[in-house]
Amino acid sequence: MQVTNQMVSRQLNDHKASISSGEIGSVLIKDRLGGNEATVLFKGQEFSARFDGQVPSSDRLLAEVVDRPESGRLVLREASASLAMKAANAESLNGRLLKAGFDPGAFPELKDAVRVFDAKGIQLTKDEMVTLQKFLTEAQGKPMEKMETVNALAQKNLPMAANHLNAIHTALHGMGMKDALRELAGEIKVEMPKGHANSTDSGVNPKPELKNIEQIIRDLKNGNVSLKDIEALVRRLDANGRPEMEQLKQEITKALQIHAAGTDRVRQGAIADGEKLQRIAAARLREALEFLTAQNMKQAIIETPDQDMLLLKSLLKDVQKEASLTKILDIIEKVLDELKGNKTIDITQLKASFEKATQMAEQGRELSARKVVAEAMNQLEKDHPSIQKGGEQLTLTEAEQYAINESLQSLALQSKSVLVMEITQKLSQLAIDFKKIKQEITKSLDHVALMLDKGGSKVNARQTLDAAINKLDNAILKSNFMLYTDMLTEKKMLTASSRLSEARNLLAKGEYTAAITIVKDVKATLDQIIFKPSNTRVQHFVNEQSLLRTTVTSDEQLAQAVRQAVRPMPDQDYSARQVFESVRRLGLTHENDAANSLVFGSKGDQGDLNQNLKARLIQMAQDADGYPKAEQTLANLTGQQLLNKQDSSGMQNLFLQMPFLLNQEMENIKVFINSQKSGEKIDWENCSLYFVLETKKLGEVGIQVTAQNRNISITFNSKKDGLDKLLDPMTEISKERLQEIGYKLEALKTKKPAVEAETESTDQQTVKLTPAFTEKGYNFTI
Amino acid sequence: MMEALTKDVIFKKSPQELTALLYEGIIDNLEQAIELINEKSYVQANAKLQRTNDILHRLGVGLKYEAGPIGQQLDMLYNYMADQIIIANVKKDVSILRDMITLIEPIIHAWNEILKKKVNVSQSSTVRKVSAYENSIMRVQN
Repeated sequence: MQVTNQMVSRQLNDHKASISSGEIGSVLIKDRLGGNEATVLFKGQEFSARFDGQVPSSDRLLAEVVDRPESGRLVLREASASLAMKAANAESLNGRLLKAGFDPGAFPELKDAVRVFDAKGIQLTKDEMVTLQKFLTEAQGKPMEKMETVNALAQKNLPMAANHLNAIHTALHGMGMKDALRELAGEIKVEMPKGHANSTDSGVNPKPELKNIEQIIRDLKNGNVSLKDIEALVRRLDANGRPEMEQLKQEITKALQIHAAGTDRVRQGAIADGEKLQRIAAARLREALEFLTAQNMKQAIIETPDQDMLLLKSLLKDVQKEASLTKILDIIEKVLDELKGNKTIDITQLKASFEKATQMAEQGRELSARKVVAEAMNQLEKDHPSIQKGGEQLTLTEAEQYAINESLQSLALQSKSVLVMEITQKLSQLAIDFKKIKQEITKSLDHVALMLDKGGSKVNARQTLDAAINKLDNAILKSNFMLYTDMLTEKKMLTASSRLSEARNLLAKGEYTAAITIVKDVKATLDQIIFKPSNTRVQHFVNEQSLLRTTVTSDEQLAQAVRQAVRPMPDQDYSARQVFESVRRLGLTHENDAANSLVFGSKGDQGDLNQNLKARLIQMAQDADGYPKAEQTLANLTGQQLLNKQDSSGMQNLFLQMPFLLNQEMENIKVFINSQKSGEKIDWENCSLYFVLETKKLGEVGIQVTAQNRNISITFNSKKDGLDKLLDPMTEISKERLQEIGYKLEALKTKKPAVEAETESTDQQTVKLTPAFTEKGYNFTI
Repeated sequence: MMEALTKDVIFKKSPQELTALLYEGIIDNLEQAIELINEKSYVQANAKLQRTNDILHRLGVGLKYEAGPIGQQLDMLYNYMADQIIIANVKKDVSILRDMITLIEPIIHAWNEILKKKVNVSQSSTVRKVSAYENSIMRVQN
């Protein structure tokens, strides 16, 4: 099977460069010029074409090249050849189905599906047919969707296997990543980013008035609480009249004041500052309220002072510290003795486990005995939460207090605006590496210029230039430099890269002088770039601290991974690197990374590898047997990966589905990439991207971005009237921005197929626009 | 949550008691592995058996051959057991594991008897010297 695949791909690749008449391929109609003329995209190249007869009504179709005159214009005919082929195949198809034990009449769907494979030149074995039939009957969804899945599988030349079918089916027709993740979140009860599946197990039944406070705390966490509620609460507190309550009241009032100040700031326009203040206020308030609940709890405990509880508490401590098992048993025995009279504490279980432990101790099985004791103790703790070793709660609030204090301090110094700068060893190493690379590139550029000046070998010059471009591209995309640069430097680097390829093109055309100027120019800009990476974010530290605070369970790790993966773009400076990182965090390159780290040893450390969502999901699906949702999400990811397998044809179609935070809601983005392949990479200079955003207000918005030799045209698909007017102001900005990185915006159009109104500000679209260019050059091989 | 064994406890144990714990670990792990194999949870069973072999290995490292022939013999026994456990792990053969338990049990009992009698395991002077030397070597390596 594989051998034939390779042969097919080689044949097709050979054809790629030239288009000969009689060839059949998929055509995208870009522009109808009237009559039978149209601009079409064929094999990733744009042609003006004349159709035999009318221009077909659908934008995508299969067409046959009737003629290809020298003028470059294609003459196309809508292909119906495949129909004829089908008829010819039909008979033998029936025969094969019968042979495999299927009555062709009874399984029309199977017949259709097998036909799909026939068209691709793939012969299914009997087992494969059985798998296929099983999928067609058992999978969920409409028959049409199933056929699409089968089509996709055939398209990608993937081996027919149940798990492949399922994975692709989930990716194409299952619920979106967003919903899958959300359900998963519901199942494992972790808080998703803004999804807010709240957990409220405090383990203790709160008193009725406590519930009220807890409600407020919860609301606070969600960021919406009415001031009235809190004020009412403060008033009620008064009735108690105790000193610590008085203090608490002051604390709450202070928090409210800070909050008010924050609101003021926001009104004045300093939104970031104001929001920070508000956040702090909320944190303080929460702390105060939590203290309140803790107080009330303590009260509840103090109300029933219990000597025996204290006894148990000390028992817990002793048992954990005592080295000798016999002594432990002695202690337990004593405690049991003393507890005999107590009715509130159930000691039968403790007694039973004590006896068991004694027995085991006699057999010399200390470990088991200890286990039994530990289990009993845990049970005891569960039954009587009051004997829990105190202090845990306290440290937590202390840590919180610390975090709050720190952010407050930085706020107080705000008039001076202290910038914390941190240069780690890694960063300085990065700087050194970058310098080296820069030197290498400028050196080779020098070399190129010299060769051209002196009329040396042009071929050599081109090769050197190619190497320099490659190196630069690698530095931009594969290394970590871009994580730490600012937008400006990055743009400079990108421009340098694009100008260099311009120079290469000029070289190919023989325009040496122009090429030399560009090379020299780029060298000058590169020389100017100074790379001094440093961590300068205050916020960063706070985050780290909150991470330190709790030990993370696997569920929380998952939540963390999800949060990382869907981090909103505006949160980061979007750059090629960042988008790539998001893709990586989703785990779409998990296998690749894993293989790399296996082959190249410890280069990428293991910890990094396990950061991605897929790894987490695999882990969950493996070690806990109760997570069907995890498996489902996993299937979705795997399906996407399968769908992005290298095409055998010259075209590469990629399909990505990414959860994404948009206006605080997790949304799905679907990205379709169509491009020609250039070697292992997709040819990013000539490709078309299609984004589908599912937004609440707009429904589905499609954005089509087509790049052709650095000329970009963008089309919005949305039903909104006057969208073009809304877009007008951003046309200019986009043009400028694009020019900064060496692109030319040719056209910005709107089209209306679906959905309703758009009130969303234009900046939302800018957000979408920028990442569009950043898909360049990624190696999506899986 | 309370752990069955805290670090506190482990640090307070004498070497002899720690050895007893290791022995017990063998039995524990083997018993659990048998159960897991019966339940067909082979992944976990594999983990348990690997753990058992780790313990055996550790016990082998702790042997003092110069203390007498019994050291040699224990070494051979441990090696044999480790091999058998690997075979059992490959074949998922419970009976071999049961054999291993019966094999190690008398030794464990003997060890526990000694512990209970609190025999003063005074070290001969040469042994002490050797161990002092070894200790310093270990420190340097660390």
